[in-house]
Amino acid sequence: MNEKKETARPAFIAKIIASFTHELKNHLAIIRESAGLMSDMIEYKGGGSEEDKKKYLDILKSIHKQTERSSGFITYLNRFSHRMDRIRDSYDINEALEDITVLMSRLANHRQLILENNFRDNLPSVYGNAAVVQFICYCIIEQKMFSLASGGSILVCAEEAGDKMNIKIISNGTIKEGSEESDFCLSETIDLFLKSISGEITKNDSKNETTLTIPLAISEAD
Amino acid sequence: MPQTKVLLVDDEKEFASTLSERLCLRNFDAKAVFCAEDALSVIRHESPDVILLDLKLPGMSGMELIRTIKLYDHTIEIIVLTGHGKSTDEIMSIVFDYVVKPVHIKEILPRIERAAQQRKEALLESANVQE
Repeated sequence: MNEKKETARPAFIAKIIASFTHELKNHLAIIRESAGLMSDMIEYKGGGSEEDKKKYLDILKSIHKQTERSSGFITYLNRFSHRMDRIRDSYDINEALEDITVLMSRLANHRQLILENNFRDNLPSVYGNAAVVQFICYCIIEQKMFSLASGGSILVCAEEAGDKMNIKIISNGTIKEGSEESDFCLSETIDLFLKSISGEITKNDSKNETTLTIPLAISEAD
Repeated sequence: MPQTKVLLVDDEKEFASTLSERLCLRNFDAKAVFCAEDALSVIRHESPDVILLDLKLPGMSGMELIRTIKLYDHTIEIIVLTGHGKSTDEIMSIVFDYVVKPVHIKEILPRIERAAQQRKEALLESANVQE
């Protein structure tokens, strides 16, 4: 059990980064094939007709779109990675949650689930360890993804509550049979990390809602 | 000489469609599908010689699909074409080859040709056994 707990966090980081690099490789493969197709068309067809020109333009648009996709993903990956080298910092909770939902959306897609966010404007900055908050959110989302049947959805949102911030993770859909016997051991891992950010978790089973409450500012003594 | 039938299975639609078009330009009978369900339907109706398969597909794992294909027709050759850098012994024991994206088409073509040749020989062998 201890080993599982100890490896849960690096596993989370590895899973996210692996998912990212997989996605980036796909983008690069599309860019390569699109450029290759353009060369092929010139080589095999001569490529002078209006129809060919339209095709070239479509290919160039595709190359542009893929480079934009990669660039966007790299931005999230960069932000996600940097959160781990700052133990305490002031951060935008919406941005921290957006990193996770974007990075986990591929994992959700493969389980035929929808992972979405609904962020409120003008939320105050939080001072604390964003990477740990992200990790706990990941654990909660992963548990919900494990138990949801295909076609379900998970919503992530944040709201201010006095001197605290509530992060709500709400699942919607059919629960898979036997999913309560999940082998993730994530609940104990969550408890372990909750203390370090002075956070607490409440569950509302009737709404399939899990709320992570964190202080807006963690004191240096914590 | 009949064209080699190649089926590309990848949820990255642009990748699969573009590579399929490039294979058609090189005289292959190539087709792209974007999910496991469509792949199985094409396999049942068109019996491709070689399948280029991504391991991460919505709805069904790549390994599950590989097993289903081989159970349906063990002579169909499968080349895994994926963004995942690491193959497993289990996968390598079943598939013809394992290629990591992005890859140059010049590296893919000889693999497809060899896989198609292997299928041709397997079909001949099974025809001889039936006789």
